[in-house]
Amino acid sequence: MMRVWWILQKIGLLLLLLLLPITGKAAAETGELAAFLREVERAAAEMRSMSCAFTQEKELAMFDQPVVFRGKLDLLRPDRLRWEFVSPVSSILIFKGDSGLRCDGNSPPARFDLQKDPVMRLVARQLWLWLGGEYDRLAEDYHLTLAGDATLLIEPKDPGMAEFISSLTISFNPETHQPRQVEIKEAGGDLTRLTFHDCQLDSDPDEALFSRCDGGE
Amino acid sequence: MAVSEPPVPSRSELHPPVGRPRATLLRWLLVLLLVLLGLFQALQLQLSDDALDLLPGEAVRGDLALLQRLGLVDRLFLTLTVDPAYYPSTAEARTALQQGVEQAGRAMAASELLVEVFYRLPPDLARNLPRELQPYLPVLLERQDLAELASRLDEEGLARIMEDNFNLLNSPAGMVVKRQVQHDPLGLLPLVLPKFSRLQQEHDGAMVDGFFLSEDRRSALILAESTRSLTNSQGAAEVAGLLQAIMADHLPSGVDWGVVGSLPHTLANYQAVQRDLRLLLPVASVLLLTMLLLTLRDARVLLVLAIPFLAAPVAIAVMGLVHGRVSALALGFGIVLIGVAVDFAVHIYLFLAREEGEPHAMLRRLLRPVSLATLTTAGVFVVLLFSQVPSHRQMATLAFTGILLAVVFSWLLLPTLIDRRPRQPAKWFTPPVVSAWTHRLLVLGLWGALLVGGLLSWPALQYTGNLRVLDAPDDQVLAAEKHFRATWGREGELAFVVAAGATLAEAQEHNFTVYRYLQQHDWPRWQSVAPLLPGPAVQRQRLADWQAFWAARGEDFPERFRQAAGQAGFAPGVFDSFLEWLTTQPGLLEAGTMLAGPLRPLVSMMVRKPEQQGNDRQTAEFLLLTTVELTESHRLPELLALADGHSAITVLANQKWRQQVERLLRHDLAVLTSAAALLLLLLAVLFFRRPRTVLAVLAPVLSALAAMVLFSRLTGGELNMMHLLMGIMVIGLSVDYGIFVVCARGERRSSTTLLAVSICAASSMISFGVLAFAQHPALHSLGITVLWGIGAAWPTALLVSPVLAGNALPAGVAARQPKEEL
Repeated sequence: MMRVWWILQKIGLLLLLLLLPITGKAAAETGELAAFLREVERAAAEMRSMSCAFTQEKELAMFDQPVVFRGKLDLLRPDRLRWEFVSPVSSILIFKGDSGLRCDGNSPPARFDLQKDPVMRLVARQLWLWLGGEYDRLAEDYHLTLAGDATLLIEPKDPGMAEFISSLTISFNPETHQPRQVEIKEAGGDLTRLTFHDCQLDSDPDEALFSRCDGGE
Repeated sequence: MAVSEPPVPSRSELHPPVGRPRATLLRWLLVLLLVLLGLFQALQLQLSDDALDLLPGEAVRGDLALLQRLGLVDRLFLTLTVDPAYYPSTAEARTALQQGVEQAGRAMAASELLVEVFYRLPPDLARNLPRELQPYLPVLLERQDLAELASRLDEEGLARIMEDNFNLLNSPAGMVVKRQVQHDPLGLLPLVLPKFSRLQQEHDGAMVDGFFLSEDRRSALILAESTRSLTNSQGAAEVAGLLQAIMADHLPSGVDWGVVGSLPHTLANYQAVQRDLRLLLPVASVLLLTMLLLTLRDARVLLVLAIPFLAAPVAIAVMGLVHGRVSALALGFGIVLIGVAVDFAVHIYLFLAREEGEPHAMLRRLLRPVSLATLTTAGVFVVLLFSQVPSHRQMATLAFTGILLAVVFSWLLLPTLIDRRPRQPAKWFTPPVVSAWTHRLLVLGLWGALLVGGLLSWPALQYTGNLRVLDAPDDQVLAAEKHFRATWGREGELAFVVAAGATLAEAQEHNFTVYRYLQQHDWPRWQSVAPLLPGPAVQRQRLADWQAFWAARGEDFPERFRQAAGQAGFAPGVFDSFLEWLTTQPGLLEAGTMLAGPLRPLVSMMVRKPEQQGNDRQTAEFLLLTTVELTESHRLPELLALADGHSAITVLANQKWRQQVERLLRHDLAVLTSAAALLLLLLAVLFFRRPRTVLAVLAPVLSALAAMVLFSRLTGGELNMMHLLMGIMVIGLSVDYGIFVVCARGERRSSTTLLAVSICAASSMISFGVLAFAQHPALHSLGITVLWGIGAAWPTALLVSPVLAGNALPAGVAARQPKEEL
């Protein structure tokens, strides 16, 4: 698994231009969508922390069968996030401000700096895109549509980005307005589905979870 | 000390200007004809603004010409910096910075004044680069890369690679790298990627969204090359104006900018010279005219000053015929050097205006000192013809011709204008006469002390070949450079290694030799295109290695590979196109492909085609540039050793030029000064024979040299090229003082001569001496040299030379003695 991050880092050098700036406040569509986004943003702003278990299902043409990974997530606003696969492989990613830590299997923890490590910066942006709650800010670079009850469809405007992600569908818990499921459709029909469950809002996760892979003091 | 004045004649005793009206007309016609011919020819002259003419030695000039051909002299380094205080968040500050860079960079690229503008790598680089590089991976992988790959391709290794790929695709970044994994499952591209870092090693920082940002992400770098020469003040001002307009129009609030390179230095120097001359030239002119009018009390003195300069057009024409294209600086300085001839005109004027007797007889008496002084002064400039600096040689030609002609013109024209004057020069201007023995001993003692001081200081003289000593960057330029170093972390001195070739392929081979050398000797920081653009011979070798490598893996490798992929969870046939590619015949990577690709902004800065090398295209060579940082452990001599063994490789470094310029300067100073001294000694011995008289003639020169050396020693200053040039001029001036004083025998003529010498010396000190107060180091060097040299030669000519020559007689004795003919 150590090699995964090594390759990821190397390939990341090529990806640095894909890091489209997800900034620039633009007005979202009026009406229902705007109201919904306000609700989601309000809920996100009220929530200080969150801990969830998640399941990731990948249906790729390259795989001979769908692949399921399981893991858990801890999020502490504004900039701490722990993304952990527990099966079938053990792997942990921690983001804390502009720095981070990754642990693969029994390999020693490796620290990284988001400013210097483009691939980790990309990963962080993706995760915050799914979970951050600031969807209104995406309007400049993505088309946002309400695709049903408490479901947001996000489609990239940039054709370059569309080569990788054709759409992103985020289903929210109607009560908490927190993401319940993220479905990423890729060009060519590949699909990634992330389902969050057993979520605890304002769980106040231990600060040590964002400093050490073992989560200890 | 006293001096006796000649009696004022009555109007009836005044002699008319020399010659008959027809002879006068002929003289003027002859001079004006020559001036007109000279003007006509001078107007055809091609002036060059080439700074290379100021440098000694073919090697140094050749190096700097190469630097110009590489475009490095006209390169601009712009730093845009955002002040985070202007924005609510760091992210918004960075966005503003990037917007500013994008807009300013685009505007710069659209201008015809700038080329090779690099402000952002193409946005589609990441998408295109793997696809574009894939066919050329076999020629980019080195043997050690293949060896590393081989260690991973056993059964266990293949299983691990496939497992890693599988996990990578399941990671949050999997969707982005999916295509790359499919096309390059063995990770060949990651083996090549470290070589890309060699494309940008000159500055610390990182590519973020295609922008080159500093470590703290508050600054961004823009590189560009000017199509106007940035060593030319006009071109520099034009480009500076463009940049200011672009930045004013496109930078968001809170984003500031600065530029380093030749541009700000050229402008700062130009402005410093302008500032100095605007203040000092009027001051010098007013002082000079006031001094002349107060002492001579004759408005015709303006003619005395003007006539020698009639020689300028003819001298310029001669200079043009001898040298072809001439440096503008040589022209300016050369005309100033013609000013030396004003001294002769002053002597002629004073004799005609002040001395008793018939003008023809006076001129006959003056012929010997004037012709001797002209010979010695012109001789000194002949010596300068052997300088290693082209502009010095041009100046010498101009000064030599100009002085000869100026003396002839003065000799022909002044007697037609000047008659004996009813009003004598002001009485308060009375040159001293040393009469008492005690005074003589005191004067000789002081003079001896000066000479001993100079002699003792000579061995301790320091020479500097550092071209920056004549540079005058202002505070703004220094602050911008400090900010640049702090932002981009370039503290060490850089050396440029240039590989040349008649074809690009040949240049690539030589460039690869440089790369190999740097790699083998573990040079820590260097920037080169060689790792990504090896020469064709190297590429062919790598292709052979590549094919041998896969042949060694065995025919069953594809099957083993598929098996490992399947076991990791990949679908059958996913990697078939990759396995097929492994067996196809790869092609060579042409430089044109690289230059047309997305990396062009970075690559083009290191590849120079003949058509990009400006007007100085002596040879149609292709040049490839490697930039190397010199460190304590990796020094210049090692690089020079590399270049010594390869004629197509040249090392360019300030350190190297400094050493060469110092050596040449030392050579010029020793050889030219010795030659001038020898020439003066020979002429003095030839004309005066008696050792004591010879010493008297040379006394002002010795004083001038001693004073200049002593001053340099006491102030701890270093001698530069400007000192050398002005030192030669001071020698030429001061030897005349000695000749005129020694040639003057008898109290009455001695008084006129001493007055003439004093006026000449005071004029030179005022004209050049004010430059000692200039802020620009070149002008200051020039002024201080003249001030100290003439400042010592003048009193020596007045006090020491007469004593040594034995004509410093008391007034009473002199009055009783009959006049001696010279």
